[in-house]
Amino acid sequence: MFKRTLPTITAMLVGWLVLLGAFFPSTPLYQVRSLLIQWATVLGAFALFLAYLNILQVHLARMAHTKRHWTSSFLVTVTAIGALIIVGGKGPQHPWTQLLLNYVLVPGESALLAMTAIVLTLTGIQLLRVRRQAESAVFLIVVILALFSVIPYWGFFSLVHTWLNTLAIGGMRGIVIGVALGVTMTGLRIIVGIDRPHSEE
Amino acid sequence: MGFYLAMGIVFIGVIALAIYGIRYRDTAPETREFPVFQALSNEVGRVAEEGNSIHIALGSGGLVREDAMASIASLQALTGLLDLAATYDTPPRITVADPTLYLLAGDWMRRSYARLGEASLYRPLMVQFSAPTPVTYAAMAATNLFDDPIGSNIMLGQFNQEVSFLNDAVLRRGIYSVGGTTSLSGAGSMYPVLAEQQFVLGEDLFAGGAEVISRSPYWSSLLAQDVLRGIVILGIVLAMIYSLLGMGG
Repeated sequence: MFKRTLPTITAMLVGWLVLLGAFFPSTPLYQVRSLLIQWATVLGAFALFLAYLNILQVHLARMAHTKRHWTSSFLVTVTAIGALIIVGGKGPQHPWTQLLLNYVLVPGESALLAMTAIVLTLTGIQLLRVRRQAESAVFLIVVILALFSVIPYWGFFSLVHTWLNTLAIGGMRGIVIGVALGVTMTGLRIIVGIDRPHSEE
Repeated sequence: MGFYLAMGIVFIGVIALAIYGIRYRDTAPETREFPVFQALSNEVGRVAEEGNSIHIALGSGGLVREDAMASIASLQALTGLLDLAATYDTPPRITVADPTLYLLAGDWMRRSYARLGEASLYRPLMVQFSAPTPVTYAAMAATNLFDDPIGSNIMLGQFNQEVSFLNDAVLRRGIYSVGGTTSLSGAGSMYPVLAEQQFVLGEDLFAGGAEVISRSPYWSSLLAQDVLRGIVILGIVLAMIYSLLGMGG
């Protein structure tokens, strides 16, 4: 009962209410939908706390059992505890919290994100070594053309950019429509109760 | 117009699901093949023989956002692998970047042990919440790939361009890798390192359940998805003709 029937009925009921709330925004169903989504967000916050504890558990265990990763795990643990003390004690708007955000988190993430472009280009070059096929060459040529086409004042490359964009957008739309249909069918399986990812089978 | 279109798709989806569910209640239909999902379970034995372990990256998708279904579909595609890993008690290392998915992935792994009647063998640290943002998560997961004895890397779920870090580690260490995502930038980043039989893109990610779990709801869902796709293609072609004839305004 509690392992299978109740979770299934709850999932179906909530699923239909949220779906119908999206279809009929001018009815009370919309308010019910908003409330349910708020509850989901609150549950997400509790999940974040458990995930935080998992980070500590993982790195404390690594520090205890292996010497090799001791330094990195120690840094992660100290940073995680320090951030919790500062954000929890001073609040999200306090200058110390903002300092952490603006001078540690944001620059660090930006630097990592910038590196992805370099890593992707290098991987593209390696592709030619791994897969000596016509499509690999096409991939690399398109990458190079796309990179050149963002340089301003080069008329020819601007034309190439427009042409590449048209092809890319066509392909992208096809993939996005396919994904939307996959999402729809997976969701329908759950809200009609024939698929129960949340409970014991 | 959009409202009626969405309602129509849901309505046709439910009808097709019911019809195919009845038609293929006991027997599997002829569908496309997905070699990526077929090969997943084999990795358990291969990697165990090498004395390594499997790393499963579930990406940054969660359960309270629009990418929830991609995350669920990824876990369903991994069911066979997780069951086999539980049977031999060679658990993979599962990493996630979303707290809600962390809970579900942990429960999924625990259920694999519970199905064998060995729920007590499940250890909570088998699933790791690496970091809360996609880029940091990818950097942490890539570090694991570099440092730990990983023999196989499986990336299924929501990934964007940050997956390049994982790809870089895979190439440098020569780790066998398979991947699939619904995101375009993620797919673009995975494409260079994964061969055709190691890669699923877009809607094919949702076929994992039908291929691995092999039960009527998954088969009927896959077939209903194909019906909807046919209808959408027909709609696009008709709209194009309508527009070419100058009737589209």
